[in-house]
Amino acid sequence: MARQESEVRISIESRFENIELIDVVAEAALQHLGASRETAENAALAVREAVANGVLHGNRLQADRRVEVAMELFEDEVEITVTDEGQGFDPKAVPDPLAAENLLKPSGRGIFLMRTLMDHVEFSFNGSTGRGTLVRLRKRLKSADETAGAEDGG
Amino acid sequence: MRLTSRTRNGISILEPDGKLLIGIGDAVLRDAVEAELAAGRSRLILDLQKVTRIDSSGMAELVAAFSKVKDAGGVLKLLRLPPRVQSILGVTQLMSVFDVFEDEEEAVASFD
Repeated sequence: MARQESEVRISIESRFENIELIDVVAEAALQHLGASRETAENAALAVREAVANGVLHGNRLQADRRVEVAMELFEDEVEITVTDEGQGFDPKAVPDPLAAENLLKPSGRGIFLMRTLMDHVEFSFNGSTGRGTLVRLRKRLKSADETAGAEDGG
Repeated sequence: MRLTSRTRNGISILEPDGKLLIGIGDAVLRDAVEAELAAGRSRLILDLQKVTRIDSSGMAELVAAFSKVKDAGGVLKLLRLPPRVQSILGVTQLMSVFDVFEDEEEAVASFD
């Protein structure tokens, strides 16, 4: 990861309406930070899913528990972290939403969407500090081909 | 999100307008589908051309609507998916679950 260019941090109470707020802010902030519209849209949807999980499943809609979102732009990628104050969970226990037996189940697509829309997704947990789940999302701002083409062109 | 409904050849056509997201349009869609079923109408088309955003909760409502209608002995089909919605349904393989149409005439005729 190259030199950090910019950073945006937001802290919200665990309310439904704040999920939408973060979505709107994330897309605008990422475009402002230099991400393309498509990258910003995809990353904002991934952030929405992570924040919705934090608000609903992590903090269980307890407004006094916060979800922290940090967006950092580097030269070649954007990194977003979403942290809640919940109990954490086992990502491996989330059923595969593409399995035939799960296609018609209503839940389980949020983490899959994050993994599909972003280049890197990792979960970490730290119950001892009272900060539950940390989701780290990364997205390259340009593909390797685009980067090579730009360099070839001067 | 707003939702309008009309009937054509005995088929209910529901047209949500706006965002189909957690806490925003998901309950509107759920209530509309349940109202159709309660009224004995179980042949439904969801015209999604005016849906501007969808997330995993919106997808969950589409899947739930599909299952409820099927359980009631009916059929739910999708019409006019915006590219963004089609892309998201594609990566989650939900395009294989639904009958999807680009043209309302064809969608209505498919119930014959």
